Amino acid sequence: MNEARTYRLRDPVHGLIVFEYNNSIDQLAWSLINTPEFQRLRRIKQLGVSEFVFPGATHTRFAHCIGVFHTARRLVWVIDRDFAKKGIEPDKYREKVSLLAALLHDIGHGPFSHAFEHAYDAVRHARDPKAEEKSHEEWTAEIILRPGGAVWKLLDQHQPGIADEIAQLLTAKNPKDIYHSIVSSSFDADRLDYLQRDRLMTGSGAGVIDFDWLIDNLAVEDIDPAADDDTDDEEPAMQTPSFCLRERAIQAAEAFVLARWHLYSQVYLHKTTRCVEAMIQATLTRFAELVDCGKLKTTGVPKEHPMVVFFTKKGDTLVNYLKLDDTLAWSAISMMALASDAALSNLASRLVERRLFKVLDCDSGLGMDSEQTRRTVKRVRAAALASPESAKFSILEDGVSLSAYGPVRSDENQAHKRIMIVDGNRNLKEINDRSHVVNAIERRTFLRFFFEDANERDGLKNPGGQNGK
Amino acid sequence: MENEEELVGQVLSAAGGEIVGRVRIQKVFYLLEQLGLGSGFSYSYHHYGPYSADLMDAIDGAKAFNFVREETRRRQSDGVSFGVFKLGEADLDVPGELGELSAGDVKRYSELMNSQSSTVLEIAATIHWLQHEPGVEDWRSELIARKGQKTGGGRVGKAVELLRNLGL
Repeated sequence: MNEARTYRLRDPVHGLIVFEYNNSIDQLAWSLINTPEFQRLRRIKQLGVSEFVFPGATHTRFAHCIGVFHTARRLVWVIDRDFAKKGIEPDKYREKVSLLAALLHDIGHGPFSHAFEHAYDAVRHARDPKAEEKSHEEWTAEIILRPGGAVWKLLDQHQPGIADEIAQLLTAKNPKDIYHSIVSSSFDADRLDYLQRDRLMTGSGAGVIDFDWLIDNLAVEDIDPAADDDTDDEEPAMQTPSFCLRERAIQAAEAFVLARWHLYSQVYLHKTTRCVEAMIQATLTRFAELVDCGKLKTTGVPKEHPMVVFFTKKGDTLVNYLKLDDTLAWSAISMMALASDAALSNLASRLVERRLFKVLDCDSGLGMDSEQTRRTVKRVRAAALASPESAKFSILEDGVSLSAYGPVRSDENQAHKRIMIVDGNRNLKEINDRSHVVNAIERRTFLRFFFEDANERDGLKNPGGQNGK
Repeated sequence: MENEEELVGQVLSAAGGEIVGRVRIQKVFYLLEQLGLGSGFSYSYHHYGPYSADLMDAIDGAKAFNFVREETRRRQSDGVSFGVFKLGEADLDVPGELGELSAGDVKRYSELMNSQSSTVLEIAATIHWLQHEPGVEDWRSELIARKGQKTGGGRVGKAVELLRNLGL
């Protein structure tokens, strides 16, 4: 532990963040920040490769995590206030668990954030088709629970068993109490921080949220966690507590939804950023293929480089993972640019020099109706499948479905992440039932293909010079 | 496969022309796939259990070709919106067999699945996934860990019975 004194940080979003000398959670948080596992986050950019498009977006997971901790304190205050009104005693232990979970929630992110996650899953799947995807949340839990790790030691010294509680809170898919909502809900500390931080650091004019008004109007209510269409009255109703918003803040809720919509569509899913991510995934996939088939020498990366160690079969251990960060990944990519393998060298050198693939954006710009667009999509996919082995990375596909709540990564938005509005009689309604503005936002699929060769793209878009027919 | 958009419409037609809910349509297709539909869609595990991005893409395609249309409805209790998938206006040839299944099989299995809530379907598909994909031996404990309170209210028993009735 550090010496008990008051520590202060200045943050571009929240201003002064203070860790009080007489607050044991603050003091533990400060010590956790100073662990090697947490310091690694200084070398992982919050927005991965968004700085290819938004040069200012070089902020780190380190700053974000501290901002999330600070925001989580405000949410704990919301719970305490709500419980006091209802005569409920707050659970101080669970409060502590949720605050520390907020601080540590991204400690398991790898280089380039989500791009690395997808590339690693592709490699795992190629090695074992039955392997389930491994998310950064799972890495986070493993780091927190690593016996002998600096994070685990501090937590265990503070209170035996608390590391397990924090890891469980961060990996739980379904909430069991309101403290889960601090790290995973429609108004969790993560998104309340990143919406403000990412907007500020990208320089985007879109996506302002009324943070203070949102916080002041949060209330704790029971919501139905069942799937969207589940209206079966024969089964006992399910209820779980979550943050809801009082109806007087409905315009702030609309602004919050629109902020996410704009940031996703203009920043996170920007076609150029997604192109760089797709190229990084292709680069790492090719790299792992070569490592797997004993052709390490053709990659240009020495065998002792942490990227080689990690991507070697059975090398994907926690200790090896913790050695990876953006800086190391870029050093490896720079070496791959000189690889003797032509495909790897081509991808890596393009990344280093920012010679990006050319986009075919099926969401907009094709000038076709939906049926013609679909035929184009099928034509491009067929061409990609027919590519010879030597050109299998020459057409890359990227598709993301976006709803008013953000990207739809599975069947539907998760129930506890719906935005529910509570009226004076404590009746709940989903926001799109109360707001014409939000209801007008339709699910949109961002489907793009990235081509090494612009002529091939143009030929597939307009075969025979016709308009896509 | 080449005609995945048509397949979505064909299954929907054989299933009675309507499937209610985005979670439900995923689980219906997943369980039919295990019974022999042969779509070739790949599945991975997500919040609501096995999910196929290929199927989602095929549904988008089926809507583009007007084999399928999606209506939005709202849950009465709290206004939560959900999608209802119906047959579109485009001509659709429904063959007697879909993969290893007859159209009659698809109808019968769909009726069995439609008699259950989508949470029970979610649990049934997850049990099957846990048993066959990661191959979890103690699937009950893992199910509770992943699904929490959804496993209460007799839903696991209903899900197990559904799987038995489907022959899975």
